[in-house]
Amino acid sequence: MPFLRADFRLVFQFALATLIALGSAPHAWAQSTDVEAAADPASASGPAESDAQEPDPVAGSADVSERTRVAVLILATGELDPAMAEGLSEVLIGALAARGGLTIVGQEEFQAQLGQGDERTLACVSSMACLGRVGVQLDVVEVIAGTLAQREERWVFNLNRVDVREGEIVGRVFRETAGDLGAVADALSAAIPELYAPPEPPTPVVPPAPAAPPFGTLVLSTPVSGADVVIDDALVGHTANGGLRHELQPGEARVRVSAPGYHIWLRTVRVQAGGEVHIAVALDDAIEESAHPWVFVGGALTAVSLGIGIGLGVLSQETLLISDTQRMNGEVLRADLVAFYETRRNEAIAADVFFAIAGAAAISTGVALFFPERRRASGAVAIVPTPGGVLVRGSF
Amino acid sequence: MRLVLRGCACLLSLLAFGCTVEFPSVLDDGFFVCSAPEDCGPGQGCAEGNVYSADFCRPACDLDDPSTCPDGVCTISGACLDSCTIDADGTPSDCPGDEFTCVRIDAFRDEGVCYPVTGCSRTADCPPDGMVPQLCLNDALGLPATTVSAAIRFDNLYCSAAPDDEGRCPTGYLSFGISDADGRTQTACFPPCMLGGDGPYCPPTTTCFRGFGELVGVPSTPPCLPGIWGLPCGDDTHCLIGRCLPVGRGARACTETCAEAEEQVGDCSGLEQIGAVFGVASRMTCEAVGGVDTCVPRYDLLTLCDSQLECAGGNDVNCVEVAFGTETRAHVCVRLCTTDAECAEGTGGDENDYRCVPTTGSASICSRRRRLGARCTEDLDCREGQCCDVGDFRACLRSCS
Repeated sequence: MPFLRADFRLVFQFALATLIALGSAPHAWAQSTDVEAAADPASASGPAESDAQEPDPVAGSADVSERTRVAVLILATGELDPAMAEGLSEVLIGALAARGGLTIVGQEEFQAQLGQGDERTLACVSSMACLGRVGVQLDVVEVIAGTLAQREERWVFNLNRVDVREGEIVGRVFRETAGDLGAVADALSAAIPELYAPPEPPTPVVPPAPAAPPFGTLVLSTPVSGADVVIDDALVGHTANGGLRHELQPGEARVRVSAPGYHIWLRTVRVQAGGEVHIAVALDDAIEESAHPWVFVGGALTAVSLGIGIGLGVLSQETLLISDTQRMNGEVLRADLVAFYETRRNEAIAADVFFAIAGAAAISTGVALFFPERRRASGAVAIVPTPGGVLVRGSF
Repeated sequence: MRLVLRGCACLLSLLAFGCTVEFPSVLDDGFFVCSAPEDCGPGQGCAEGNVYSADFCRPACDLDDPSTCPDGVCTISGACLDSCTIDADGTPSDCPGDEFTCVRIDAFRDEGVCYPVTGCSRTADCPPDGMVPQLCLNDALGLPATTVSAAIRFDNLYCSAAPDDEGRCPTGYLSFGISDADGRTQTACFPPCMLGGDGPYCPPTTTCFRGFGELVGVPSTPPCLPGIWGLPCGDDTHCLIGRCLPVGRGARACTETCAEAEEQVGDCSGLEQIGAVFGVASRMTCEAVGGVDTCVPRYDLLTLCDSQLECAGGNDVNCVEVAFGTETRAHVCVRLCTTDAECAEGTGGDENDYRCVPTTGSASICSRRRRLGARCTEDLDCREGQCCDVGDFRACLRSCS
């Protein structure tokens, strides 16, 4: 399937490029994931004109002779094809490149630095510490990372702009868009200025009326560490130190907590803007019952022993027909006849031994059926598509 | 738990009725030809055959250890033949299989041995065997119905070859002419045997006596004579009258223990006379042999002899080959003599019973005068009557006319 996947990716990228060329998306489309944007604003007049409406602290303050290295990564979540996220990453890279002054490190290098697959990358995107560590590894100043998900007919993406040196989020975008991928690309391009919007300066004299925070907070508490927390089909992190705290858009959200050895916990929660929802997640042990290994060993032993026993039993029943004349004329010696039947008797004894073994094995197999092996489920088997193939995970 | 119990029950039934191999009964009951014990398999011996039967397989035994053949008769070749019994009315007990017949091996006792021959009690019981005439052994040997007492029986014997109308025996048999006191002759066909060789061996109730072969003219292949008191034997199957008991010096003879002789005929001397029928008179004395008081036979003076048994009479009596006339030579127990009276000394007889016979050399030897019907070379050999030509041989008759 890697060939089909590659073909699909090319078609998708071609479609995105066409959409970008026809729409208002940046034209700095590049096949490479590591793009050095032109310093000359004329080379990116479209976006420059478009973004000129917005304050651009990076463009305004950056020294063009010292390019800022930025790592960019958008990951698909849920059932979404990773190629879509990769395409959008390229759109994002193009849009950022159009801003100028940036050396952009793409998703593949990002993952190469991680040396792990999509799943762990997705977890890293949710972790400030991980993003900071990767940023250092990639020798970038900023990391712009986010996820793309599709919920019913709507696209949902979020982007976080992380200052690696300060270890804090300096920009954040969350969009929910209807329409096709072109609409997503447009929304992504349009969100860049917001990503670079300066933080609201504090008003020391008269604090402004507190604006309604754009996010609510979901606080999950569970004694199980390392559990996957998926909100609206997007992996948002793993529980640690008794739980997980996550900000999310107000409204209903489907929360799914899963961990190997436990039943999946599912709940729909409603989060209000600025509010906190505390949920105690009790993960029930998932006990798998499987046949005791002896069932299979004993069954096989029963079958093999029975087969051999039957074979030897049939052989042992062979008889030698001799006539009285042969016997009295000395054509058949008694010693030969005795030897023949001794052999048959030995075969019969061997057959009985194998029958006994088969019987004992059958009995023990039957007993073993009453004592299935119980163990904590180590996780469901899943087939996860990865670039260039699939990953099968779970316990077997 | 219920399943476990069922499984155990199933396993036990499988073990109980599992594969088994029944050895065919013919291995125990059947007649298998052999030439050596190895042909018979482990624990088996190869019983010596005879003119009626090839060598055949039977369980192995030790002739000197009766415990190795507790329910049978151990033969000289180390094969244990099954014993059988014969009821007073002559009905034998069953022998294993259809190929073995209960043959009497003791005229005094109702004892028999299972042997692969055609059984009979009278000649009418014998089916014709092709062109070979058949006689029941009692008729073939001219055995009387009773000899010593009415308790002696000669039934449940076996069919043997008979001479044809011209008095000729079938090929392979030895013929021996017998005459009565009036010169009526009869031919007896004796199976041949060989001592210490690979056979042929004697069939049941007969024994191989080398000295008689000399008399018949085939000293290297003597005939099988009925095993009667006083004759050498190899094992119990050879004796028709008496048991085959050790008599010292490694020899065995058809005889009785002293106690049995006392019960049957008064004492050991009562066993002496039957052998005289075949010219083999013996002196029976009760001696301890191997801790058992046994009537030990020794060849009487002037009777046929050979190295199988000793001659009676001390150091001056030896078993030597002598010539009778120009054709017949035989081993006899001899004493050198000069007169007939000298020969009668110490015998309880007189000059009518013994004579001093000159030999071709310078010495003369004592000889017993013969009874009527016995073979002779001249009139002086006969106790009474004359020595007459009766055809193929000369015999003592009342009158040659």
